[in-house]
Amino acid sequence: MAASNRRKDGRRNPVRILGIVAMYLILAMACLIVLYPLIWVFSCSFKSTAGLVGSSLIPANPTLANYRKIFTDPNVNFGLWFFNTLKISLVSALAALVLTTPAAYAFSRMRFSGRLHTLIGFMICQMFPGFMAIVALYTLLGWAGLIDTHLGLIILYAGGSIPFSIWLLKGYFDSLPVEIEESAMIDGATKFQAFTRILLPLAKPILYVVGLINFLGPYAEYLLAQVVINSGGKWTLAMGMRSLTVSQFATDWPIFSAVSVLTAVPIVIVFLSAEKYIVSGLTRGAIK
Amino acid sequence: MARSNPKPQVAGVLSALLAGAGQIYNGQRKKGITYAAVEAVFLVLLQTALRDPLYGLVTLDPVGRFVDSRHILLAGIIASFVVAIYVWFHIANIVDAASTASSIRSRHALPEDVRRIRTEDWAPMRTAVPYIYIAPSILVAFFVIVIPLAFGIVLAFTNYSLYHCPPAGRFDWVGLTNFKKLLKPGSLWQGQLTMVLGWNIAYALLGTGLAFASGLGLALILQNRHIRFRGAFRAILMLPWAVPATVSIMVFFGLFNTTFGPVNEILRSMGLRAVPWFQHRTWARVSVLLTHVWISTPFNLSVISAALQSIPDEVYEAATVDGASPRQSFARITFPLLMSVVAPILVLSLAGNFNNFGIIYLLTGGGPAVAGSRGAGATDILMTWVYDLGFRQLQWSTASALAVLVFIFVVIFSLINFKLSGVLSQLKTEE
Repeated sequence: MAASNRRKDGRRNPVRILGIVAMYLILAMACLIVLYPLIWVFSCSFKSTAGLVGSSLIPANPTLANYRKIFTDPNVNFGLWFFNTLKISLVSALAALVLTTPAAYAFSRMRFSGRLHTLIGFMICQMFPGFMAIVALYTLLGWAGLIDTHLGLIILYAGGSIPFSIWLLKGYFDSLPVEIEESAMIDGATKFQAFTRILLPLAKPILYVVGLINFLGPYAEYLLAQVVINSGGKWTLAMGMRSLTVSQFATDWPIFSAVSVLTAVPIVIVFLSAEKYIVSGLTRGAIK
Repeated sequence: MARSNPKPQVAGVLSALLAGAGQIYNGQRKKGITYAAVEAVFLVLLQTALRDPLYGLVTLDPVGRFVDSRHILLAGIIASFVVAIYVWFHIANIVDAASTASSIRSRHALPEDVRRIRTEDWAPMRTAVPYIYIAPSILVAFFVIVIPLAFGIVLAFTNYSLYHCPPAGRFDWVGLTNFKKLLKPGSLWQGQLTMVLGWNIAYALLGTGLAFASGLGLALILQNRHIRFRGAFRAILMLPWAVPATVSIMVFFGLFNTTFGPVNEILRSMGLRAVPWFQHRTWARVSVLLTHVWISTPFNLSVISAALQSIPDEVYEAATVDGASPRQSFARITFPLLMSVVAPILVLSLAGNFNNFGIIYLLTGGGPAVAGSRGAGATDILMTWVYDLGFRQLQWSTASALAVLVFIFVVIFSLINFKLSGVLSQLKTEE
């Protein structure tokens, strides 16, 4: 039966060939649409600020002046923005992991009163429009003296991701067999040892994914950053880029392009190298 | 003191009057004393630290060291959560007393069992273990998520605005005034709300639907064995997911720009007219949707690809044997199986797109302006309008009331989703 199938597929049918050509055309079109904005902004970063940026993908007089400017001009302090952003994102990701991993373990492996309600509560929290919290967060941070500090922003990022991270981690822990931990505990290991020595090493992939998601989220976040941070020396990349686009002057566009290229490239590399894990981490719970 | 035959009702009533009394009546002395001590501490707190905040929450009058209306409200909310947690504890204590009493009665014939219940069964350290694991998360989430959301909700029932703005001024409770203002038929506010809500729903449905359709189309093509270089195509098509969304949106802001943007330049070179992307309401909406589809297609593509691969080949083989054409096997097999797998994700992203703030705020800023409006522009969705009302027009209470309406909308929607996807029933079976 398989042989006859193959014969059918291999037949040089004009309709089939036309279909395949159409598919290649669609793919080529889609790739063009995906690539054009990326190549355009990349080429803009080498264009001169004197002329119009235009639609061409090859700069007429390529120059490195924009890149030089963003590292030397105190008004476009890419180095500082990048350092601030990296610091905030890394600390947020680590804090989120440290906070949520033990909690997810308890929700996955232990049964206690209030468990179900807390999990449902987390789910409901995620449905609230973020704005509702912003006024109160601003007031609370002001009370604690954390307005215009990176610590304030880190607390919001790490805290805000708790429900999502716990759900993701719990889903993965649930899919790991409990028998290994049980046998370790029969051999005299404590619950805490079973958690740190047996479950955590098994759960490494999801720990990377949750850490990465909590790193990528704050990396280019704009809304909260803009509410919490005021002074220019504490700006993040998103705030810096926004300041370059809202000026409305076309002459700033090559500068903006240089900043966005340097902002996006590290993330694209990180994301593409971890894509497989991210996709499986995100879809594992949903697709069984 | 310890009865050999305690009555559940008596134990329950005793515990209701004084936490731990029922437990002592049952013969669990240590547990009873601990519970009573918890109640004592709570009662002392109620008279000291909790008194001013609770009083302030009711009246919103300056009390003690709380002068700023926002601080009064926040302190009041925190205090009422402490009360709520104690009430939960007190109810658990009543249930515990009654159920322990009835289990002692039922095992009356075995004295050693009764002794075990009374002495060993209460291991406070063992009970506390899960709570120690979750405490850090819960505590942070409490202050960063729960309290701020509660604050946002109650703000909708005040008149906090430019004219009632602490620290100089103070705001008060106004009941349902804000909601009445927003929902009064025929009013300017209600007209705005209808317009924004209409576009918001259209944006969520169209954005999700278009991104899903393009993801599905590309996934099916990349699934086809006659197409070569599928890995390379896939890698290119995934790129928009890898670029931080904020960067992509700002780049599209430049692409569509009517003074220097290349999109219009390309249209002109093709002999077409330039398009007023951000100046005309329909084109502004189109630009938002195009940007959305560009950004969201890779996520859909990857989820759909994973789902397609989870459909076993045997199903197709069986269909081919039975003489199904490719179109039939897609419509009857692939699509229904695919939908059953991706439906929860689809509905979840629909709910997410309903509040997709970033694209609209960073691309069009909600504009272009609509004549005679209260600040809502043609591409404003509820969330961007709420943000504008709050942070630009300083009408905090109206903004909060609007946010509450958004929340009610999303909750109804999500509950239907959870019901459909069976998340809740799955959780219940875990217990």
